[in-house]
Amino acid sequence: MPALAALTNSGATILKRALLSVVLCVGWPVAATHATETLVFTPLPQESPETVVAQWKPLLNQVGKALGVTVRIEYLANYGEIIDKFRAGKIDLAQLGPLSYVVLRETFEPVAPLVHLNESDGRAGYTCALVAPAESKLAARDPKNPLKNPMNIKGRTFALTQPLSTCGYLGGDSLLRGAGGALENNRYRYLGQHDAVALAVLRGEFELGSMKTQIARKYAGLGLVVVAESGPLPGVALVANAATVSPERISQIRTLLLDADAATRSGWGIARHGVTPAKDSDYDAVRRLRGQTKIPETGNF
Amino acid sequence: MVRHTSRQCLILFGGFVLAWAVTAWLLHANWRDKERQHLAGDTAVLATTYRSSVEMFGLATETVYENVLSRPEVIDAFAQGMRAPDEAAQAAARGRLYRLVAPAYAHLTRHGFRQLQFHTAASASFLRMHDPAKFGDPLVDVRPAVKIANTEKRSVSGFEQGRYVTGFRYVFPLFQGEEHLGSVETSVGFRQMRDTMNRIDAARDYAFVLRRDRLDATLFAERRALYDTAPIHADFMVEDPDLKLPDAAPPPAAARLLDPPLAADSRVREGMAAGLRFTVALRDGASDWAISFVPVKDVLDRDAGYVIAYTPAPLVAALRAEFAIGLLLATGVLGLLAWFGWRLLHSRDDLDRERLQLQTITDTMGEGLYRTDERNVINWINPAFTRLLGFTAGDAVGRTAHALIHDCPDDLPLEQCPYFSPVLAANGFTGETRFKRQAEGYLPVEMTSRPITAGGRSVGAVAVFRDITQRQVAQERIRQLAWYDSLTGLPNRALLQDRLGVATAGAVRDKETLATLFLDLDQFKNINDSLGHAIGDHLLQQVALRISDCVRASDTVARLGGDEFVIIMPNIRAPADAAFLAEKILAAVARPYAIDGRELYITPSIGIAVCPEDGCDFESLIQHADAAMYLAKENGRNNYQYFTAALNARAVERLSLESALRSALERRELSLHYQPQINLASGAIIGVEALLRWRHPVLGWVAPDRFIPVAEDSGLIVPIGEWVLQEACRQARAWQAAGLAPLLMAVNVSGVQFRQADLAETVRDILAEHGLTAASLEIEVTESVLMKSADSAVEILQKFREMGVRLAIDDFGTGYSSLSYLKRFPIDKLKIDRSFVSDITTDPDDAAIASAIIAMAHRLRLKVIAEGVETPGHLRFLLHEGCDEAQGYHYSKPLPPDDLERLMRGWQA
Repeated sequence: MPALAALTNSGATILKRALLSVVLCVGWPVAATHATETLVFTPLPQESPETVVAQWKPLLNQVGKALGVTVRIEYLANYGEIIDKFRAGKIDLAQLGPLSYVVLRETFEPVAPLVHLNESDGRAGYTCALVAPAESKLAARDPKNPLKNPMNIKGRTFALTQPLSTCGYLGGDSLLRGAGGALENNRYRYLGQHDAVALAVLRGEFELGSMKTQIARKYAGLGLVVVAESGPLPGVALVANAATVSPERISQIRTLLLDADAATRSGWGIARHGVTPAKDSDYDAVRRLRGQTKIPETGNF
Repeated sequence: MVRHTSRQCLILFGGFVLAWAVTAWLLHANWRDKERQHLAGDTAVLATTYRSSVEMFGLATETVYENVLSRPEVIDAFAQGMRAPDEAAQAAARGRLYRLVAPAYAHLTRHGFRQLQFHTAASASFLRMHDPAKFGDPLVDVRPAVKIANTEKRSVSGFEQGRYVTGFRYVFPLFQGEEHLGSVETSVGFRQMRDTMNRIDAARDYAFVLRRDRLDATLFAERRALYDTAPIHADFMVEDPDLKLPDAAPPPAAARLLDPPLAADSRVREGMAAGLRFTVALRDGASDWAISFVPVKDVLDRDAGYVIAYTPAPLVAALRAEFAIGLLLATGVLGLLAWFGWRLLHSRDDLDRERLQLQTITDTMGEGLYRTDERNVINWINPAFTRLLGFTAGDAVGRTAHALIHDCPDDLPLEQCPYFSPVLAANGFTGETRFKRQAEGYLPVEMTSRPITAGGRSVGAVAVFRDITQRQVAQERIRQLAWYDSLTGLPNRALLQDRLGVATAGAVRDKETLATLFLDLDQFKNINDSLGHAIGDHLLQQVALRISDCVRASDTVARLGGDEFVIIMPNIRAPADAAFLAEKILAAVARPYAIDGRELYITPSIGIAVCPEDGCDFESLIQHADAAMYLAKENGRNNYQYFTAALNARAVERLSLESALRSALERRELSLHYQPQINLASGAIIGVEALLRWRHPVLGWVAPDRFIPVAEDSGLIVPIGEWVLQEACRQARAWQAAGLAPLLMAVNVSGVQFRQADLAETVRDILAEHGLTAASLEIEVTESVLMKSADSAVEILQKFREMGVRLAIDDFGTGYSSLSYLKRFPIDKLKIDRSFVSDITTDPDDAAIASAIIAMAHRLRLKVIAEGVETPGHLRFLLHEGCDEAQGYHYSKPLPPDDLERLMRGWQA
């Protein structure tokens, strides 16, 4: 897998962040006392480790308690590293975006999608967005806004997340292609997390950024404007490693997540908006996009 | 004394303990004071370091504020945000503000700042540079610093508990013109503050702990997990123990090591609870630590937590070592002092004890003791001094011993005093002298005096003396015992030998004549035996006095022992002078003595030897005088004889006689002759007396009076006597066998034989051996033998009587027979001694004695035989007096057995 190896090493900011990778262990007294089985879970490094851990901890707490197992969170800052470790059997459960799932699935069949995490609107899918500061002309609503004609978008600077991030190069490029443009005609750089993309754009370091729409809207209060939004994509999924987790356990987890009532779900943190059953075919559209786009492993400036 | 010393020892020990305790307390206080000062210095260092770090960040914030945050475009962007008509405009302003401040914020984060935030004038969050998506939340209730800055419009800095994280806040109000827009703040976390403090003072490790109650009041719930209870104190919490924050740093190693023991330390527990600033020392294994605590105040000056510094504290160890060494040294010094004190007390005690012992000795010693100064002035005496000489201390002290007691002429200068001048010359004096008594006279003393020296010179003297009166008496007594006879007071043999030696030496030297008289009392033994030794001793004393009265002053009278005396007559004109003295002594001694109510008579026999004729040495003179005395004895006693060569020859003969006698039995030179004994009434021969005869092959017939004494003196009389019994009994039995009429065989038994315990048994055996009846045998014992041991004689005689052997007392009248004994003796016959019979017809006294003996014997129912009957006159007298039997030459001389047998046959015929 030389390509994936390259992806793993891509992006200076990602590497810098990777240095700050922290292994966070979350244990539950009951489970720790009685469970003999430990499941290693790795979230997507979309936001800061503290935020991510805080988002996942309630749900994993419930799962471990219900199944009588210990669930350990291992935060990895790099998408490529997540895929490599999953494939190596060192990760049992993972949060994967559509692109990272597709990439993993291409080389590792035992990855089993369990559920999609619903967004705040209750839907399982999400969208990618191109963002720009409100004071940027690219955010203006007047007809002169270059974005009104994406074919004219050339030579602009783009902040991207990671190569394997759905809303990274793939998302940005697909939005430009929809309007006849192409990301390759611009300058882009991978920054890692979605937050980093938003803040870099806000700081004026990039004219545009490609990121998850939901995260972009967090920065609306700073004048970050969604200037283009993709169509629905399969939601972020919780997947299991069938090579390390038994089918019974996989079934138990899926059933647990899907059968929970609203009251139970309300305490799940990141999954408080509910989950939707996931299946491999949900990612067909993404596979098509990936087929149309050659994702560079590094930025071009 | 001992109790006194024990109390002093107790006081000394108590003093030592007290001094040690005070010293230990002072050293400990000094140690603690130094340690306290040192630790206080640590506290001050920590406080300074902490304050400097906080202020450093304040200065940095102020710089950023002046250079960036107060720039017009930043203020303008902030003002637009504050005045924005709608959210979009406000968002745009916020975004612009974010973009404008971002470089500065990046700069700040690179230098340790954690946060940069803008607040509205109403103290709501407007822009968090560290979390831009989160804004609009009110801070007025949880952020006093922000509230103060916005209400009082002044900058505020200090520690503050935030809703996300805690840290050090620097809040500056923002103005546009006069319009107060709000405020901006920077925040520094613990990690950054620790790093800065470490840059200031790298010798320490730092940690921050936060009050639990403050955290609980302000912290967002989801941030609560970032804190955990501080190991050092349960009321405090530590931030990010699990290192979740990006800028997390592990707590210092010292904290991990020391917090557990510190948590158990009451000083820490109570000090932190009270919000005190302090430093404690802690020993962990081989290391010493100083842990300083400086309270962290929040902007409202409330206790919010503690900054803690951990630093190795070698000085603490050094101070402790200093204390230990000091205490050790102090203990040693005090111990040494106590030991010296103890030794001093004991030395004093020893001195007191020795003084007491010395005083006891000097008070109780029998010897007199006095001490003088160098001028011989007495300054101390002991009680014995007073007891011996009579002078009390009042009499003696202050006076010179020379004048007071020394036996010196009154005009003899002190320097010439023989008892003091040697002492003054450091030689001392030891010798016998005499001291003057207070009363009168002198006391003989043995004196030893020694100088008392100081610095090599005599400063006085001490003298001890003892009373030697008794010793001198004893010495005199010893001398008397050694040289004089204790009974008579005359010189004894030793002194005699000495004086005779001196006298003969003088005689030889001066060619003078010296006579030695050897005197022996005649028959003195009889007096001792019959009258007892007390009377005998008394008699000897009187004889000694009489002899002493006879001699010249230059003569010496000595007693050799017993009844023997020796007189030395030096420097006489001629040997005849000795005869003159001998005559004088014979007359003096022969006078009667009145002793114990008795009148006693005694005569001496005196032998005279003359120097140089008879020798000039002690042995020769005494021996020759003794031989001469024997000659006198042989000459009838009560006379004196000079030593002659003939006498000497007789002594030689006596020795050769004894030698010949020893072989006489074996050579059958002895024989018995028998003298018939006649019954005067019938004229018949009724018995014979066996008489011993010795015919020497060279000497011929030896008279019995020559060899019998020799046999008795040499002990030969015992075997000879037994042979006589054997032969007599054999002859008697032979005569009976030959048909002669039965004869009574009279055999003489000497005193030596009579003392043989088995005499009776021997006689019985001999009688049995020869088949002779006991009645045929008559034992004759002299009167003196019987009287010598009267009690035992009765027992022996009784045995003979029981056997049937007849008994006769021989030589009756010559001894001192006790009539009461005579009555008790189981005897049959008395034999009147021939000395009475020989003159019986001419001497009326002898006749009277013979008559008295015959009459007394008959009264006692004893028979009487007279011996020495030689004339018809004798016979007539005896017949007239009624004597029973007689023997003598009138009838027959002693005859050999054959002749006697013929006589007997003829007599019968």
